[in-house]
Amino acid sequence: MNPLSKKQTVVICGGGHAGIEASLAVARLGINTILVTLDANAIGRMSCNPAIGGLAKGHLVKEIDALGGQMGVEADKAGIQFKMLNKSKGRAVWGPRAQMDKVNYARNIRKTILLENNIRIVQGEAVDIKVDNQCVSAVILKDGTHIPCRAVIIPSGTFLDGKIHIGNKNFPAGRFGEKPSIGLTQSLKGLGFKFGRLKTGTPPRILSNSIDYSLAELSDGDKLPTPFSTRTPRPFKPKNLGCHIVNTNSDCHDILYNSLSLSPMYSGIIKGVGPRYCPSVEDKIVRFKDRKSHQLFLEPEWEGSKQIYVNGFSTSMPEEVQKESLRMIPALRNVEFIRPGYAIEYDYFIPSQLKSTLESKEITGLFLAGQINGTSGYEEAAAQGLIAGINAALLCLQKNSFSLTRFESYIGVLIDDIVTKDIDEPYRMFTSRAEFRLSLRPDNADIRLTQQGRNIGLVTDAHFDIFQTRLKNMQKIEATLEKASIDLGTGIKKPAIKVLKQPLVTTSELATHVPGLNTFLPDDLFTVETDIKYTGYVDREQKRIEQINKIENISLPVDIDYLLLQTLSMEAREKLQRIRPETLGQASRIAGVSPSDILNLNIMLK
Amino acid sequence: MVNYVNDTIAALATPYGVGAIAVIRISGEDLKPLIPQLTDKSKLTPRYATLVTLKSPASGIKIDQSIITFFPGPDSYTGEDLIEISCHGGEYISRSILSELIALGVRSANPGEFSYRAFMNGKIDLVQAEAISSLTQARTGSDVGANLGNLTGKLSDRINQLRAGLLNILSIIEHELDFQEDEISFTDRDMIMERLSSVESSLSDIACTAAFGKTITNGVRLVLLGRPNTGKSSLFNTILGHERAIVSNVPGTTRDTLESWFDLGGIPVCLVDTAGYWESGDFLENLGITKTIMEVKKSDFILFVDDVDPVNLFSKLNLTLSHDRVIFIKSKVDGQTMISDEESLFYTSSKNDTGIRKLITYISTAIHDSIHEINYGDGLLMTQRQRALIISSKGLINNIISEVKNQTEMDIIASLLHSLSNNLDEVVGNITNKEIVKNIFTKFCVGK
Repeated sequence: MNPLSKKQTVVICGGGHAGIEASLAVARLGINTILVTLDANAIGRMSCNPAIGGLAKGHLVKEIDALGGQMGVEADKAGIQFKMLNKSKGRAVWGPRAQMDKVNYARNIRKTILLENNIRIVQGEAVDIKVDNQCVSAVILKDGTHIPCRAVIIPSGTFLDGKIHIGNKNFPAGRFGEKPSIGLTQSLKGLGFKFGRLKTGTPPRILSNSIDYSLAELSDGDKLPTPFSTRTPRPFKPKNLGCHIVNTNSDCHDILYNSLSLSPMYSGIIKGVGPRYCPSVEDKIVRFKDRKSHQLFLEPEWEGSKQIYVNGFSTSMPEEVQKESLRMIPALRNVEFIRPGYAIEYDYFIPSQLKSTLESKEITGLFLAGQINGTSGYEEAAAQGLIAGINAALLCLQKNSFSLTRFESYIGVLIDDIVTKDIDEPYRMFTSRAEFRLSLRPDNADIRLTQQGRNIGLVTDAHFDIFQTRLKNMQKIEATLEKASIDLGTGIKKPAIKVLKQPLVTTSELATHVPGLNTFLPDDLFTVETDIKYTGYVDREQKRIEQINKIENISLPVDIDYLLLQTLSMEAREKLQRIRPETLGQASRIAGVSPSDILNLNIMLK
Repeated sequence: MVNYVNDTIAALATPYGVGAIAVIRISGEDLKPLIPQLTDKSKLTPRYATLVTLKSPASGIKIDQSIITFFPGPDSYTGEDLIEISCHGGEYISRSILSELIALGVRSANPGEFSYRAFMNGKIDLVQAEAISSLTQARTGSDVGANLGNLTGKLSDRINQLRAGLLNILSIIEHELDFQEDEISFTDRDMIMERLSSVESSLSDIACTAAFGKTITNGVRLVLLGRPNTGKSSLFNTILGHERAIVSNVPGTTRDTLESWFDLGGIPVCLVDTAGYWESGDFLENLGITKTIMEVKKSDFILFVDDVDPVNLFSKLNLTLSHDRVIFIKSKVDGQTMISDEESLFYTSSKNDTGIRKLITYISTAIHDSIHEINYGDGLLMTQRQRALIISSKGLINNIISEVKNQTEMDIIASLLHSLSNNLDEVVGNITNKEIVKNIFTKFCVGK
């Protein structure tokens, strides 16, 4: 390969979850890929919790997988406990989640990257982006290396001007024990990008043999685990290692409460805004004062690990306060730390400066993905990395760009949200952010997206075969059900489809009555069954989507001076001028732009 | 009206023809330069009625002495600068003023364009716009009152309140869907059920107003039915004779019917004489005629007239009609006094004018009973569009309640609640659909 041919090179400045998906997508689409990382051994490292998926995040992993991305495949390989969350609440909000062996996960990912022909790993720090005529032309490393390129993707996580806080101590860092990145953020600011500061936190890691497990409750995974990837071989028989649950108590809360002034969040040292959703434990005890206890999950970071992650106890208190407070919990009365919890404050760039392809609206070939866009979470980062990677490659290939709508995917919801809404805390995916949730289920991610991944060129032949076999089998299941009529003990035979529509009836119950049904894969049965149960409701959603689609894709000219449009409200004019949405649909989702503003715009555009 | 541009528009806001005064409205982004061109004043105090001499900008020739009021935007009806000229009536003066304006580059307004601009500039919502359209066509006092209520935002307030309640339930459900069981504490279904029921009952209250709203806009149809020569036409004239407030005498769409409108306690009532259908032929045979059936179907009440035994005759006809929609009249009881032993049977004599007053009182009560009369100042559903949306919303909330009872999962419930909220949003016009909006404003007259 000719690594320095500018025309077909994409540089990715980071090897976290966004950087991995971006690198693999670019490389697999046949473009020379240079992955610049501060530390090649840190590629794929999980900075925070040892788990992938969860509510709404599991949807993202399934969608990444459906498009030909990597995260789901790797999570299935390195998972040590699989659990479907939210099972009591309706299939559209079920959240597949798996505990990871962090060491295996990162090791496997590095192997995958090394085996990819088009990727070259360069160890170093990217400090500057060269731009000619509003187009990216090269990335400059700290040692002076000049890498000419057509596009650059910046998935820099929490590294940009990162600063760690533990109590009133603070020091520059990108992650615990790793240096921050300073040059890159200055380069972006120099290019005119507007930025802000955000904060996120991580809990302490404690020593396994300092825990009295006899006083903790054991929690293990599902008996019938569901893998993330359709490419993972069936039957799926992963490990099922237990983790443990303990509960905080009022003594534990009192210690934290009395030390609030020592928390950088509360003493005002941290300027960045923290997430409301996975708040620090000091946030929790203040915000939910009436709750006497919170659950903490003691999760091993890898198989046989002595290092235990205290899920639910994210904090930036001084180490002694963290320890003292945890020691109030009987199972942790002798707890010893490997390292304390900490908060990290970092730069993010206002994502409304990006198109829905994650490319800058101003500079061709400059893509931002992951926490740099104000999001939080591995899955959110990976999803953006994938989209940025695809589009950087398409740019090199001189093909049309690719973006997903919020009507077909959570990835679409995520990106549409961040490019149209103001981010005032780290953005985490939630199912409530998707208006058409019933259509966007984890189980049908491939049905929604795999054909699109195939069209892009990211879905391999083997992957596509699996998909087509699944489609065929689903059709066979439907045909079988349509012919069958059964009697579930009422004395009257009813069409199987009708029986299936009743709540709580599943295909596994029908299997004994309908011959041949149990020869199909559980995944295929589940999707057909859910489609049948949701038909009418999904139709209603589709009608709403049709209504919205009447304005969704009307594109807005790039040169409109919104300030001159006097029939729009003042707030709408200012917001539109600043954000410059690409379509009327995007404009309609900007806070402060009312339906009548949209109507006005729509009429003016004619 | 197809395009919306914010050029300056003008139109006569009062009807064409002879009158004491005529009002011309002008609206546009900046009307200040118009003032010295058109009047003997260089500027006008905002919102003060000022006496001016109107002149032709080109020739300087005086046109009229008029009262002119300048409403600077955004505090005007349209949200733009607005001028109202009250000039002397008569076609000549108003036409001269308009042609001078057009010479200055002002465009003749399309029907409804002033209100359309008001809507587009956020001065009124869709329900208010509809109320304005209806006000100009109001037939009775109740009609005016109800539309005034809606104009001042009464219906919009009720809908918005309902929507707020709905969003409250939705936010609870959404919150619970977003978190795991161990992260937050959950509300039980009973509480959600309770709140849904309260939404249902408010929605029912609003839906109830539909009948009344429809009645005072569309009126009530009373159809006289009976064999030939039983005195239907005499009764028709006698009833109208009692109710002096005849609104109009409309010949039927065919030569066979005669319709006449009168105001019965605020409700517009249309009395229909079907005599023409069968005076020439066999009554029973003619009843089968589609036209007759149509008329019966369209009616709100049937006045079934017979000079022998209306109740008995009616029962032989096998008409599938609910009995509370039929009022029986034994006609031609001239000279005798008879007391009816049935609530809905009346003895009348058009010749002696007996029994008529009692009949009318009964009709009036029956109408008012049938329409859930309510305080119309509180906001009523007045248009077909509003009614259709509320009826579908009512269906939806009942559906949601039964789904919750059936233990349907919350993701589905949330989706249905979102649909409901969208429906309500559409009632008050939080919609981006150009077609619906255009459709509403095309019903306006010029100058509104």
